[in-house]
Amino acid sequence: MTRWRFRDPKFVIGVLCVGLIVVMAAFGDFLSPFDAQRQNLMDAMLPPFDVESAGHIFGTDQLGRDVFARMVSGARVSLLIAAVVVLISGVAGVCIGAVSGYLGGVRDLFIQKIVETFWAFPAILLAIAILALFGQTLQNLILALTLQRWIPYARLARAQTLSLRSREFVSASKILGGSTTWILRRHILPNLVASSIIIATFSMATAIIAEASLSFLGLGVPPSIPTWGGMLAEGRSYVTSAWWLAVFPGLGIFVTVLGLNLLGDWLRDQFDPKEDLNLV
Amino acid sequence: MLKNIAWRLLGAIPVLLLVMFGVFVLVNLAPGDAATLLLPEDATPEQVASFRAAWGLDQPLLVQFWRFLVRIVHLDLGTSLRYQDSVGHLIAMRLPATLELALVSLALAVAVGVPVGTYAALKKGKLGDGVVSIFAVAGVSAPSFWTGILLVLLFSATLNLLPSGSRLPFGVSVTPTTGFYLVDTLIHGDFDSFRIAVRHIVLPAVTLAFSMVGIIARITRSAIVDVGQEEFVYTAVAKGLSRGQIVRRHLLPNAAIPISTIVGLELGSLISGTIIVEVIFSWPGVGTLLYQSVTVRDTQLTIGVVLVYTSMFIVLNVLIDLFYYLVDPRMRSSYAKARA
Amino acid sequence: MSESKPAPQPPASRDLVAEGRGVGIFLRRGADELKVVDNFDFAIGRGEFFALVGESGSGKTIIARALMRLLPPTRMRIAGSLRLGDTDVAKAEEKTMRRLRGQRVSMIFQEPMTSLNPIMTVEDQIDEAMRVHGTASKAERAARISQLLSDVLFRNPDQVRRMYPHELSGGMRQRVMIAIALANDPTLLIADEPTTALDVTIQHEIMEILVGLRNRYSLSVLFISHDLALVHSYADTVAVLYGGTLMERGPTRQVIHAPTHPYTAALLACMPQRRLPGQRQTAIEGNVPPVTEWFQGCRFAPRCPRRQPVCTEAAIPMVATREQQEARCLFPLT
Repeated sequence: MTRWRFRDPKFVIGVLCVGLIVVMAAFGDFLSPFDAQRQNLMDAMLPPFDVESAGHIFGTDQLGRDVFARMVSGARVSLLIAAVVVLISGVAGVCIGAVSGYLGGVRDLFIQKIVETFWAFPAILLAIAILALFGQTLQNLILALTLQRWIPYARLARAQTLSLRSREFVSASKILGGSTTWILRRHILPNLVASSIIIATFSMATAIIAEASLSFLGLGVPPSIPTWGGMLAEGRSYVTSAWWLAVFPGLGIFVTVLGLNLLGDWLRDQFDPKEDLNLV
Repeated sequence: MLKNIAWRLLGAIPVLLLVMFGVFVLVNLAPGDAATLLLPEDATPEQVASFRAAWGLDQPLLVQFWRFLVRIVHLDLGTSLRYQDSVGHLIAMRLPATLELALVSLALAVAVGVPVGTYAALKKGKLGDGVVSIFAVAGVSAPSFWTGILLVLLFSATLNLLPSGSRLPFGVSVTPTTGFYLVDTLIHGDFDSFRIAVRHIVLPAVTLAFSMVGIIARITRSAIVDVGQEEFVYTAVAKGLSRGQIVRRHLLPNAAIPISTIVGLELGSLISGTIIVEVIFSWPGVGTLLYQSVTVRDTQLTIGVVLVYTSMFIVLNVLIDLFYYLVDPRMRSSYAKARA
Repeated sequence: MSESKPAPQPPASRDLVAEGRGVGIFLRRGADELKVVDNFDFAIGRGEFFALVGESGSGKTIIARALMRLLPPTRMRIAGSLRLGDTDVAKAEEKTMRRLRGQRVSMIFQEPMTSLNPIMTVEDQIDEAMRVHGTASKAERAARISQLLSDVLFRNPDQVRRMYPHELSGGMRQRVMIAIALANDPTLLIADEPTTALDVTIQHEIMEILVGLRNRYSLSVLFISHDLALVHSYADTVAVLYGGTLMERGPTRQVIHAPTHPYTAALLACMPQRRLPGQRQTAIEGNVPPVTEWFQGCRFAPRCPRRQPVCTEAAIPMVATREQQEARCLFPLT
């Protein structure tokens, strides 16, 4: 097993970033006395970090809603949706890939063709098509986001399954039987689990951006629920008068995704460090 | 060699067919009839009936699919309800704008990303490498709709240096020859308009490029490091080549192959990126068309755009394949051997 | 016990193509340094085919790389005097080294399969070697390429020049490497185990080419190998390396037929060709000491059948054992 380098800045900053957002999502209610939905036109458009903003650390929006509280709500939505999407796509992907590799032959080919078809769509386009055709609900959003996300897991699981099968045919008869599970546990599974976790980390990052992009375009979560993407879309109109309405939600996305990407990188480094060049 | 090109293009057709079938299936799976989906809500029963007949909605599915395909081959993607114009025509009008933006952004991203990545590879393990690494991750992590707004905030709203939207200001026009304003203005010698067009494309192109630079820098670094460990680098040193010469003549050309692979894979996000950037900057391309079509539930237009985008994407991937074929002599030989 | 005569004086430096006196080489990694070559002396004259033989880990490849300074000072430190002609390799500027590389001294490597740039034609790769160092016209270079390819025994140079490395066999690639190395008429060619990765028949083809070049152009060759049998028929001088130190040196035939160092004798005894029918295949007992465990005195002593306690007490000098031949041993064979 490789030695875990916990002092690596990638790990430290990654954990800090993700940790910050998770804490915000989990304990946000205790950090801000305001309700995300409550409008108060008297206190509209208050700037952040201002003593006169009546306790609104991140300011208020055009309807007087507290930006920080909305950020907390947005964090929850983004993290939950991304987690669900990654979980479903991961499980489905591994299963489909393993089955496809195990079955082989025509059935494998058929499944591979389906993979190719899904893969041929530029990511966000398929999601837009689904949401446009099937309506804009939470279930459809999750469906749209998982529709391509399962593919990397499937490819990985299929490759592993295929190599396991070839090993079966190669080995002498007396080491078949109980040995299959041994090979599975010792060689295939750890590799599969490690690679899947790396894929999942990056996948979560892209899922957050995808969900935010769709919300920005008005296609994501129903508008009554505050999401970072939606806040950015609204804040865009006020960019000259109230910069904080667009900057903070974007910052939230940035910090979360940055943290996830750094962690993913760090995980990848653990398993595959590079050597020096031959240049003089 | 031409045979290979033709062969590869033909290989894209099954995928295209599958994609169209996929879209067709989606349209049919959607709640409601294709008619209720694709026609406006106030359509008269006669309109509905004639639509059904035209689309053959009471025919078996495969027949419907066949007629769907036939229509597409005739470039009939339907009619937009909102614009009362053929979908094909609408897309064609706006495609040059999108392509221009995409190409300029890609060129920018490569022009910055490759040198930066090379620098990071040569300074591997040192401070320069670390700094580049940080910027690369930051670039990938910042959503384009945020960086775009930040850039507008800085350069338009605060500094008032650059315009915040559209391709040209009101009152300025360009004689469309290629549809690429940067090219057309130069062809006609209209340098004032050229400058204006440049000023308008800067922010959207930089926004889009920003999201890709990180990845390109990273893959360049990785590719250069990989190639740098090959034995033939020693041979080059033994010839008396300087570091710079080795990087330029041996490392970069060999690294071009894996770099293009990744750029090819990134085309998908380039397309997604143009949609969002166009919306932010009110860029009159196919992206804003898509956005508008979804907002007003103009489904025929939405489907049309999705099909066109996806087809373009598939063809682009074939072109990338061809690029390897041209660049890597080993690919050419394996093809010859395979056919021998 | 025979009386040891002092080592003969080395010939005048002026005539030598390459020379080393008391060379020590250290590999660096960050702040750490590891000595891998110790107290190495050698001299190569014009037109001399000099073989450097040793097992893997003996330091022979490092010496080759040091001579051309293929590793930068941050990775390798050279102590003592290591000269290429009249240039001190340890102290020279990088600019000076670059001018020497590919022009005064050239090198061919062990792995012909990976030593050529896969996306450049044979022609371009030879041409590059010339363009780096000279101002010959395109036509002149093109003519020289044809000539070089004929020199390395290609029967159809015009066809080969337009080919890519992956279209050539291992032996062909190695010949192209030689052509590249010869492009600027060097005085010394360093060959780092060029035949190890090739078939036996091709091996001798390459050796013949090298000897032919030596005969025709007075080219000096530093041939690195682990195979005494291979160098037997071709090299003028052989130097045997063990544990980073020179053990024996002398004219090839003489050393091989009448070795004076126990290690050389043991090495020869291991060669399958030398075995008499009925005799068992011998191997030298023990293992090569790892670089980190070096000690003073003879490093071969632990495995030497002739060892005495005094062998590992202090550094042992090279002594003349026969005419032109010397060994680093207190109890050499006679």
